[in-house]
Amino acid sequence: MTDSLISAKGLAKNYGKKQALKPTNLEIPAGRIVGVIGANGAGKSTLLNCLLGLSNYEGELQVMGMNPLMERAALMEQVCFIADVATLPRWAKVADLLDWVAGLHPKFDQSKAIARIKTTTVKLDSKIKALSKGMIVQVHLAIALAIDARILVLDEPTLGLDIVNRRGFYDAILSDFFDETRTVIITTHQVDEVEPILSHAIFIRDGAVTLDASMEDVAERFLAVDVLDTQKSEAEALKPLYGRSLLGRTTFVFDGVSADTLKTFGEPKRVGLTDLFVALAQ
Amino acid sequence: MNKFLTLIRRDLADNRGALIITPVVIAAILLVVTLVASLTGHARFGFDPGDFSSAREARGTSMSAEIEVGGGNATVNRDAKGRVTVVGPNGEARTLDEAINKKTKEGITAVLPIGTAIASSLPLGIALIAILFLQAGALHDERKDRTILFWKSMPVSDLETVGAKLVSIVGIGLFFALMVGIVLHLAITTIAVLTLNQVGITGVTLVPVLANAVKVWIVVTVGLPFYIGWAMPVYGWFSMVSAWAPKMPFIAAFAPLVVVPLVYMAIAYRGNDDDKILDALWDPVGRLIGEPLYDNLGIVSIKNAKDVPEIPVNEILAHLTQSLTQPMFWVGLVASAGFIYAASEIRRRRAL
Repeated sequence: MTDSLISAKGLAKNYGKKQALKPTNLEIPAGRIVGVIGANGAGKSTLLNCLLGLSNYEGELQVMGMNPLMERAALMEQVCFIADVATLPRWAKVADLLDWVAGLHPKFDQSKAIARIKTTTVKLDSKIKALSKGMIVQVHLAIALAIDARILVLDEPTLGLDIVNRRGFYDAILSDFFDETRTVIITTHQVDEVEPILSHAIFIRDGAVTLDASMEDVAERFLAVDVLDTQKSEAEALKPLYGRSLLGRTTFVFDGVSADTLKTFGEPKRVGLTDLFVALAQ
Repeated sequence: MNKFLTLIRRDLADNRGALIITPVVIAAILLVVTLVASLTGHARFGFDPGDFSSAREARGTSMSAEIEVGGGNATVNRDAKGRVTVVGPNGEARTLDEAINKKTKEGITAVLPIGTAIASSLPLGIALIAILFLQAGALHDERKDRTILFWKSMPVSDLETVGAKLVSIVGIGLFFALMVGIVLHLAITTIAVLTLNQVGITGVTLVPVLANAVKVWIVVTVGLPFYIGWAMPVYGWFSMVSAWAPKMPFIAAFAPLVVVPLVYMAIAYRGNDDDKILDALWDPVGRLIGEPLYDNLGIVSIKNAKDVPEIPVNEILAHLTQSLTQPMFWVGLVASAGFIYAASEIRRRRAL
């Protein structure tokens, strides 16, 4: 077993001539909540599919010391995966689905899943196709949280859900799954929604990883400051990543410039992931 | 093993309509038609609309018809109660029962279950076609509806998944249809014997007829695994194409089996009946229709020492066993293993 939970060197994925994931190096330790953030079609799901051994890839990849492509079955005893809401079999009944997962997954606690579903409006004898998107997510979440996994992977899990269900979803992940020995990986393009819970951020743009850093590193490295137009040229001399002019002030985002240096322009601020994502996209 | 059984349960639930409900419904329809035909005096499978109306018209009336026999014309009379008498060319009047000799009745006892077996084989015949569609869609549909992302999140290997689909669709699907066919056969054969007795024929009784029906069941039940063994490369091929085809998996799997030999015939076939290339190209279709099993068999009943027909169970079983000595059977099994492994490797490497 390697120290990192996930270790990738030169990980890449091509679909014909299109390079969906450019060669990428990643080291993700245990006990993190990792956000994989990018626009639609940026390559987030492609990265997850590679990490989970759901599709082939180029380069070296180890997840919990295993080769995901060749040892997917063994890896999935330790990993739980929720893709977007439409992956549960629509023809199945909820109770049957729980029975099958119980027969297929040695670490699935069926009674725990049933207990969680009974707290919702979902009926066990309902067919998946009769459930709303929010209810389907509840069923999938009940299955996922009843599996004693070390890694939980969520691929745009709240897509199409209303704000109440989205909040409830992440609350459940934090209260019922996450601890310092487990890792959660979330892909999303709704950055604001996950930012408060993340401990690590990976940005993807056009198949390339543009940022791979802990939130502590992000807070240390990237600072924003509002600069008056009279000081703009001075600030630009420090090579900001990004600048946005609004109401006579320009907000600049800097990478690796100390807070003391920036204080000459104003009070340096922590950069939100949304702003940082936009900044790195320039 | 528990995982494999769970996968089979899942696949049976997924394909319940085609594998379970369809054979039962077909059998139920056949049974109802047989019952209605028997009760209306038309114990045959002529589905022309006139059957029932003519039966209604004939009810309670006497009828007569002349038929040509060896020594002149015989007259067949049916009275108002449906009893049949035959007046021979010599003017001798006999009941239908008296017109049939004992040896002929023994022949009916032997051959009747074969005739009803042909009617009862419809659920199995439909299942043989249905499983091709199911097999073609088995690994394609899970990509189409994206459920593959859920199933691949379970700790189950791709080979187990492909194997379970094959076992549930081909194995259990065909054997369930066979069981339904046997129950239907039992019912139709019983109805046929009761109908014969009703029109006054004696000497054709249920127990010996069903004893011969059991022989049919033995032959078909033993023959089915042989059939599956011979057809397995085609099912394996369908699995592989299902795992690979971006769309229309059935056409992608089935078309080459038919188009390639037809193209060869159009281009290179010169009427040579011993064309080995053409034989090889038609081989998959031949396996699918069970040709290796009935090829050179020729007979489904022989006459015993008393010159009465009987079902030659031992000869047919020996013929089936003999088919295993053909190298092509084992070549086919090796090819099947290759196709199944390829299907699992293709599934392993793609998410959608």
